[in-house]
Amino acid sequence: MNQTSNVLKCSKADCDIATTGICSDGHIPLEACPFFGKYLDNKVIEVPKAPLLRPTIINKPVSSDAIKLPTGEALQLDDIDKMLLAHPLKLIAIVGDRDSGKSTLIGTLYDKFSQGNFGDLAFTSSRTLVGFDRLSFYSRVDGGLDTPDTIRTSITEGLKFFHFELAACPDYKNKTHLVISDRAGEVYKEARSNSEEVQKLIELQKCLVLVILLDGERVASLENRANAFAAVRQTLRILADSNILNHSSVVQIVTTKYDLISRCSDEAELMALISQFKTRLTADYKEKIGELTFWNIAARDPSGDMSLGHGLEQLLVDWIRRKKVQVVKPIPIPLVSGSEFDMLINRVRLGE
Amino acid sequence: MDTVNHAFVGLPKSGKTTFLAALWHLIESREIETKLILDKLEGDQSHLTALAESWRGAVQVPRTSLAKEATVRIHIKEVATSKKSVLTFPDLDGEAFESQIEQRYCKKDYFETIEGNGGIFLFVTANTPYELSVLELNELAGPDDEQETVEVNSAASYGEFVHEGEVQSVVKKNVDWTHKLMPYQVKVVELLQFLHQSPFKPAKRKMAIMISAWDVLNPKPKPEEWLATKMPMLDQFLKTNASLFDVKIYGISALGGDITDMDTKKKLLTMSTPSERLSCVEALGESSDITNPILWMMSES
Repeated sequence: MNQTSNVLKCSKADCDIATTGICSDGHIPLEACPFFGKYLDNKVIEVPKAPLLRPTIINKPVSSDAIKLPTGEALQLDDIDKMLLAHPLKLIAIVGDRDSGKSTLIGTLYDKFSQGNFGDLAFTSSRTLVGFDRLSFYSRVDGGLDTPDTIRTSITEGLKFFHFELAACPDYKNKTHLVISDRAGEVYKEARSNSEEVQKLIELQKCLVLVILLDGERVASLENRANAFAAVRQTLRILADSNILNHSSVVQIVTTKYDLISRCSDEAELMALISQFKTRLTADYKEKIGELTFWNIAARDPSGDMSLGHGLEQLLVDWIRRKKVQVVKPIPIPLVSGSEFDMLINRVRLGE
Repeated sequence: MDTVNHAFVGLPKSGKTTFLAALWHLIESREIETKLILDKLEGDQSHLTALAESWRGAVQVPRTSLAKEATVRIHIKEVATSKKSVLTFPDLDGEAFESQIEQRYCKKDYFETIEGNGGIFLFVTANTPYELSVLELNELAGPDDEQETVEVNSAASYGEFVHEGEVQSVVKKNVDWTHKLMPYQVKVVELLQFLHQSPFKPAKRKMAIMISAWDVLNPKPKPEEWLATKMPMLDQFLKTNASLFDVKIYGISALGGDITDMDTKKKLLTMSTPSERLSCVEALGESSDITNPILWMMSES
């Protein structure tokens, strides 16, 4: 891989744009920064562990009678809007810090369906096969890595969505369009400290299920454990305080990289801590959220001890089978207006 | 009687050209009884003649000369019913199909062929390399301190290694993602998905899955079993989209064996009837008549 061609460069010594994608001086767009795109003399730019995503630029000339085909890339908000005109969608929003496993979870679903049925569900179609394959590429030998990895979602990509149409086995009559949102973890990290920022995360307001990732790698680390729990706690708090979570909300706390937890030397103590954490969250939010459940997954255990997608099957089946939102108290239905995506919130509440 | 156009589609090296060469020989020579015959010639057929010559000589069927041809058409007729069809090969070398995946454009004449009321012969090769995951490779390789290495068969982009005969060390290098490196079955699913989305109008059509190079398989499963095992995403796609595709799956050997192996080549050349090299395997059985998929395509059911 040409390592330098995919790295964001800055000649400021203290700017870590190469790893975060964010200008330390806050310039947006990045090109507005006078130091952007330049090397610091004698500075070695470290290549990120997982390369940042860059769209393929197609420069070949196209003949005048060529007919354009869909890109297959991850969808944007207006694509979802158009899809909603054709059929209902089940939107799953996945929230988590950088490296918590969001993209790996999504990419592993693609990997599993590439191997066959998964969770008594069969692949029917996807508008985002190219997007999925970008996520999954570095888990394959063709990607050239020694251990499987997932391309990191850059903050510059914004909100995007991945799509599956899945059919229930064995007769394939019941089909579901599943859409999963993905966003850079840095955005979620910033938003959990800022109630104004959290309101901009439209996927959290429109989703059928909100999945909050508890980073198993950080939990397994003594130094990072407390902060890992705090990240989930703070996320729940700000969403509840901002009225994004309410009595109709369905929240799943998913512990990722569970293989690392299971191999911890202090596993017994750690399991007790996790259990305490769950108990506390349940007590704090049982009156505020419609449904709060806890799940463990190991999407891609590098050691191979846990199979690919460990725990994902149950999660996926839950998303697909879910028909109605549990409404404890009646929610006033707003006037129907706005885009199809805005109207999705009504469909979610009515359990369509 | 209206003539229906059926399209032959598939990525590069999926076996379309070899099938065409064998088909042309079969219907032109009439060595064995077939239910289809050549109806009429259209345009310059010298390229088809050249293809058939290579096929008969058990040499690799050339593709480059045909890349210049916009589209190849063969007019055929069913003996029993006099029903006619046109077999259309819009892109013999497969590069236009690969271009659909990579550049996300298709040619207008391809669009017009597909938008007709004919069916599709989708070629995939049984000689597809298995796309290993890193986890699978590491499991095969074992711990780093072990000297043994593994015999693998993977895509060319993987790096330099020997995958036949003696096992060798695996050499890897970092690679950027490109459309070209998408898994084979995913590309095939994309080609078919294009037909459901704008600008194409979704419509139910017959599709014959032609698994070429069937002779490389040993032991030979049923074609349906091969597809489910080796291309599971494509298999799911076809089963769950039965409202859009009426599918039949065939194992096709258009060469009769590995012509790079001298013993096999000699055996093929010594057959008194070259058409007997051919093999068409389906649920009902096996025969040398590779026109059977075309007959099914032309039938009402």
